[in-house]
Amino acid sequence: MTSFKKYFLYHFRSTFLRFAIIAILCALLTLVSVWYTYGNNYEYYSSENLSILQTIAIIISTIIPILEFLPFKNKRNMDTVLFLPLERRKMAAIHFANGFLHTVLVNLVCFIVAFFVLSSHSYPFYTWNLFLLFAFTIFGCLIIYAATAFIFERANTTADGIIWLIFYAFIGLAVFYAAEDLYGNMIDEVVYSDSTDLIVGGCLSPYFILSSLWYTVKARLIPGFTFVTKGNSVTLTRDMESATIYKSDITGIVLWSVITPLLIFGLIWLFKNKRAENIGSISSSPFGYKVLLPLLAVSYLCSYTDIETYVIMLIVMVTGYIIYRRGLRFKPIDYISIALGLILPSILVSISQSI
Amino acid sequence: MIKISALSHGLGGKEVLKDVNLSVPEGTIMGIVGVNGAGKSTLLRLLSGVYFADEGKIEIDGASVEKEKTRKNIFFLPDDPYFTHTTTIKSILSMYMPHYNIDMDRYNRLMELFSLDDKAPIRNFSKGMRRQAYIAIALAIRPKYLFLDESFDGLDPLARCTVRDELAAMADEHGSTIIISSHSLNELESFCDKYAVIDNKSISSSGDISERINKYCKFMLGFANGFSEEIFGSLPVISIKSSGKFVNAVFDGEASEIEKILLGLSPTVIEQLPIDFEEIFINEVSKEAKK
Repeated sequence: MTSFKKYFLYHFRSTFLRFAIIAILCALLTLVSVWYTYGNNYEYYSSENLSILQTIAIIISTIIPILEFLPFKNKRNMDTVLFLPLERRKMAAIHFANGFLHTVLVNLVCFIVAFFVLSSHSYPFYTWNLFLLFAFTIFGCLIIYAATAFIFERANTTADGIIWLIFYAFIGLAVFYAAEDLYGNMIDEVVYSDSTDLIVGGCLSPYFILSSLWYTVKARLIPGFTFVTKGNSVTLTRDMESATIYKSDITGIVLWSVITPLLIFGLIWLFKNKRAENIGSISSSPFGYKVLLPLLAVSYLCSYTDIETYVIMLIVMVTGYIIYRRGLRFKPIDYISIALGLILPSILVSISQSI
Repeated sequence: MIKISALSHGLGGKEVLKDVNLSVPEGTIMGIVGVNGAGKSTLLRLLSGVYFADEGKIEIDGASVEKEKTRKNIFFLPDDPYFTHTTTIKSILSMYMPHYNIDMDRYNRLMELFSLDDKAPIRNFSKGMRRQAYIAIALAIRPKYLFLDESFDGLDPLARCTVRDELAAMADEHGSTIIISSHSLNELESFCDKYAVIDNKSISSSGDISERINKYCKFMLGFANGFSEEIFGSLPVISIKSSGKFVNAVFDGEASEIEKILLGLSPTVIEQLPIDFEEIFINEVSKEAKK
């Protein structure tokens, strides 16, 4: 057996307890939620009540990659593992694969629990189609997992990694709103309605893709979820729920289908040159504060041009750089970034209004 | 054989090692010495592949240390190995098992020798016990190249003796090359063949320990009518410590030659004293610091 396989087996065994605890907790959560939801005489029986599965999928796909790559944020642990006769890229691949396997298995356990709960009641569901939904859920999980693993791994500390993940969850939407407002300035029209721009902009976030998949796939591929009104009698019908597939949903799915393999490749490729001596120090990755802070400022200030937002963004940026530099020792480039973050939006808004 | 050529490396924007050149023949037990922050641990991490050098080359048996195949022959024991609250000696061993052939008979013998329970969480062990545990694993692996970073710290005298003997036996029986960094120079002197001093970011001196010690001599002299340190002006003095009418002096030279010259100064008392590696190191590093 090669070192790769041996280490993978060792790592799987050593993280099995963690997997078991997570799986049991999620299974219990699913059991309680699905049983409680469908065990009562609600007026509506709808697939919306299975959203616990979607929630678990999103949370698990975010937490597990953090746990998998958390050991690489510890300098002492790096001394213990990096001298091992295993190429670093293989090590990264093993941690990625192990964590994703856990993600798949935890979700599978939850879907099986939901399946059995639904099967034990006489609901008009095509319960076996749950596993079709599972397949699409795993696709959505892979997107979230890969994005989380890549961003978290780029940071030199756990705190920086988590802060960046929070930023990245919202930065896509912020950029979209800014672009929409600038474009709206140019054509003097509202580009999207309030209800749809969230969906359109959300496609820039990996978390929204899972929701898109759920919304479109669940309704279209799982007929039999019905609306029931309770009056003197209960009427059940096997009507398909209606759903609108937005072009943005498809665009988002295609976009993330291209980005995800690049993230996986980038994570593994870049791990080779990981500098163990930088662990615990300032996180200077171009995927981090350097880009996120100015981008956040530019995005918000392109949409909200009032003076209060400028002041807030100045405070946010300065705070962000204090966190980045771990103090007030800013470098000249930081001052330039803060200035750009505040000045550039005005320039962009002026240009878009003059066109 | 280990060959280090023009090695330079920085940490946190600061240069730690600059233009380090060193060769370590096979089967050698080498002690790396230096003051705090000299770069000993950094050098060991570079040798074991934990760090990749900014400049220069490290070759072990003619191959880069970055290759998997090369690292199969290396075991690195850092000064503060990582463990969690559930880590046991057994779990550590299972981490290394996929990569190395472990001599379980030797492992079991060492566990018994050190009276360690390999199923107990090592968070409950003392510092010395943890050291013993990790050293036992390192010895059971019998790597071709073993790098130990301050591994004697925290060990009681009996454990030190046992570890020294086991390391020496491993080097003799298996031809293992051992590089150990330590602040305990007397410790290193007792079982290392060779040494390398890291000072001012590079190797300031290296070679055979016994040859180095024999290069110096130390005398205690007494002058009934007192003396001035100027009388030693023409001699190759390394250090002088005077106390009243007595003086201890270390000289760079052959003992018999130096003694002849000292007798010419008409001391009331003259006696050659033993000199150890620690004294030589302190004197050399102090001399460099004064430059």
